[in-house]
Amino acid sequence: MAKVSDNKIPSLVDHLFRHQAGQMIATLVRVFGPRHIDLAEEVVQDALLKALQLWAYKGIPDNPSAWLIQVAKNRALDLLRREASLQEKSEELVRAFAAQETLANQRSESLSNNATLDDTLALVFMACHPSLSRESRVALTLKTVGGFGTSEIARAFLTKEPTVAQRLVRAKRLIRDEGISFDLPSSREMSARLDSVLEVLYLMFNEGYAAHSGENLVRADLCDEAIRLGWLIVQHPATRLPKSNALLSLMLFQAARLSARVGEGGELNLLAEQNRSLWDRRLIALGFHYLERSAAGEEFSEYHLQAAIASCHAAAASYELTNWEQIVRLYDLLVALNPSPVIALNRAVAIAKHRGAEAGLREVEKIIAHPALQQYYLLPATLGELWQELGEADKAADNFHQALRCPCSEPERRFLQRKLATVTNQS
Amino acid sequence: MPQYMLISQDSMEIPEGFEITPEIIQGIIQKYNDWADGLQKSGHLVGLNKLREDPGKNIVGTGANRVVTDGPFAETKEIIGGYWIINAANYDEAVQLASGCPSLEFGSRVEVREVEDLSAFGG
Repeated sequence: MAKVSDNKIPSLVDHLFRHQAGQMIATLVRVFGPRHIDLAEEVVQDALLKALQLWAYKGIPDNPSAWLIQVAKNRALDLLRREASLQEKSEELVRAFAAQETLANQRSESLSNNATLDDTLALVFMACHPSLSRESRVALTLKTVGGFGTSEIARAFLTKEPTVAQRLVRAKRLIRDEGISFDLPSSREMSARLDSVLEVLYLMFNEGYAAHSGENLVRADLCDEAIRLGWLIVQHPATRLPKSNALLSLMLFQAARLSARVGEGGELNLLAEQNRSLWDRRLIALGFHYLERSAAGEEFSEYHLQAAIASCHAAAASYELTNWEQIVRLYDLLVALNPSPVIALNRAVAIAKHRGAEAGLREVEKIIAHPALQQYYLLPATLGELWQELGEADKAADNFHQALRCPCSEPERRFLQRKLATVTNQS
Repeated sequence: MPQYMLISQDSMEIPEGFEITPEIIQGIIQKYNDWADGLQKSGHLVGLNKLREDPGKNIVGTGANRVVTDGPFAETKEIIGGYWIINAANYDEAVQLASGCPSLEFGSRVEVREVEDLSAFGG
C-alpha cells in the first residue's frame, strides 16, 4: 500500500481562489460577527477582483495568499472606518489577518492547531446549523466556506440561480435573527452538531458523484469540496470523531473510482464494467488510512458501514472476486441501522451477487411498492439486470423502459439505453 | 524587428446578471498568463503594463486655459486596461499574435499599433 501522508489531501484541480475566499470570509466573519456575512463577502470579492486586474497582466505572485490577505485587510479596514457599529473591531481585524498572513507566508500544509482552521470550522458549523434547512445548509457552506458562486451552486444542483440566491438570503437572515454564534460547538453538543455538518458533506459528495461526467465539471467540484472539508474536519482534535474519519474514508473510496465511472464517450460505467486500473490508488490508500482511524473508540455510524462496503470493492481485484458475503453482512447491519429503501435495494443487489439473481429478486420484491422508490430509476434498472441474468429478456426490457421514464442524468440515460439494446438483441 | 503595441480597450460594463466567481477569476488570470507566457517563450514579448482601473485625468490647454478633468473615456465606457509590446515581422504577424489575447473573449477591443522605430535618432 502506498505510504499515506496526512498533511495534504490530493485535489484534482487547484482551486486557489475558492479556498482562499473561504478562508478570508471565515476570518472576517469572526471579526465582523455572523450578522455581517454580506460585508465579509463584499471585502473578499473586492480583493479577488483586485487580483484579477493585476495578475492577469503581471502573473500570479510567489505568495498569492499573503497578497490577497493584505488587500482584503486594507479593504476591510476601510469598511470598518465607514461602519460605525464595527469601528472597535479594527485591532481585532489586524490581529486576525496577521495570523493568516503568517500562515500564508509559511505555506504550511499542516493546519492543525491554528486560528485559521478554527475559523474555517466555525464557519462550517455556522453554515450547517441545524436550524437551517438542508438545502440552505448545503448552499451556504458552498458559498461561504467553499467559495462557490451562486451560479455554480445552481448549476451543480440543477436549480435556478434565483432559487439559490433566495436560499442564501433566507439563511443569512435566519443566522442574524436567531443570533447563531460563530464558535466550535462545546464538547457536549459536538456529536449532534457534527451530524448536521457530515450530512451536508455527504449530500454534497453524492450530488457530485451521482452525476459525475466530463460535461459537468462543476459537479465533480462538489466531490472535491466535500473531501476537502471532510479532511479539514479530521485535522481538528475537537471534530476528529470516528464518524468524521469514516465519512472521509467513504468519500475517498468513492472518489477513487470517479474517473473509471465515466467512459470515453461520457457513458456511465457501473462497478462491474469499470477498468480497475483507472482507480486512483492514492485515494484508495487514503481511504484505508481513514477507515482504520475511524475504528478508534466506541462510536459506530452508518458512515462506518458504508465506508467498509466501499473498502470491499476497493480491495477486490475484479468484480467477480469481490467479497460479496462480507458486503451482504455489512448491508444487513446497515439496514438495521437505517431502514431506507435505497439501502435495501443495494442490499438486494449484493444478495443477488452472493446467492444468485432469484434471491436478489425476492429481496427487491419486498420493497418494490415503497413510495420513495416509485420514481427511482435504479429500482427498475436493477430488476432489468436481474431478469436479464435469468434469461427473461422481455421482462428485462420492460424494466429498462420503465427506468428510462424516471428522472436521471444524461450519462445514466445513455447507460439505460445501452442496457435496453442488449436485451432487445437477445429476444 | 518592428515592435507593436497591443492596447486592450476594455469595456467597463459587466453583463447584467453575470457573476464573477472566484473560480472564474482564477480562470481568467490563467488565460492571460498562459497567453503572455507563450509570447515570452517564443521571444515575442518585449514588455507589458497594466493601467490602474480608475478614470485617470484629462488635460486640455495651457496656462490660464488649462482644464483638468477626470477620465478621458467617461462617455465611451471603455478604458485602456493595459498594453503589451511585442516583436513581430509585420502587421500580419502582430495581428495574428494579438488574436490570442484573452481580452477579445471578454468583448474588449484590441488595438494593434506599430511602434515607430526611432533608433536612427539615437533613441
